[in-house]
Amino acid sequence: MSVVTHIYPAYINGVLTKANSWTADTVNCALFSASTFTNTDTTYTTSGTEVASANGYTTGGGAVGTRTISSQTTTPQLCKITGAFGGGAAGTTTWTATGAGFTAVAAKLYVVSGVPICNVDFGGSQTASGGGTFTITWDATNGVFNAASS
Amino acid sequence: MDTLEIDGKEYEVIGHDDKGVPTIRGIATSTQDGVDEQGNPKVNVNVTVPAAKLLAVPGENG
Repeated sequence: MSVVTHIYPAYINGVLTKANSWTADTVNCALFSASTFTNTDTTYTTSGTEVASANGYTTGGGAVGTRTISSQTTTPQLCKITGAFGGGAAGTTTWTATGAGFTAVAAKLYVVSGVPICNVDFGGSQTASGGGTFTITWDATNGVFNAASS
Repeated sequence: MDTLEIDGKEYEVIGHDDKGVPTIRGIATSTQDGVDEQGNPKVNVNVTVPAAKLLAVPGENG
């Protein structure tokens, strides 16, 4: 099953109205046991489906770190994650699953105390355990999302 | 760019793990690599996220 990302309209609105900044906001990535995308959401909510704190995962997720955007004269505008959470390579978000581990079917990027950015559906349940890693690798070439001029 | 066709859709191969298994952008995979001292399987999960497009390139989506 394919991995699919949906961007929340509230985040696009926030960027266009200068309420949000891809590079300046504090952005976290959290894991979910259900994949939900409600395009009317204007505030990040876990809706009771975030993976519980246990076995290497802590609710709230982790800060993805540094983000970049293309220079203003290029198209498409590429919005990338180049930071790392969890000790992995640049552009990755990683948890080390201990014991029985944890299961997730989706991740959300969100502005801490702010709007949801996107829901990433993994296309099915994924379980890491026994000291293994749960790694999300963001697209280093085309970004988490990009916008082409017309 | 290396690609693989899976179920009629083309995916980008962005690397290989230490066992030579391709890492494919847009596909979530898990691999077991032994067990821990309590007998839990050591399972690694890799989710490679493709970029989302906010605006379509003219002509691309009609």
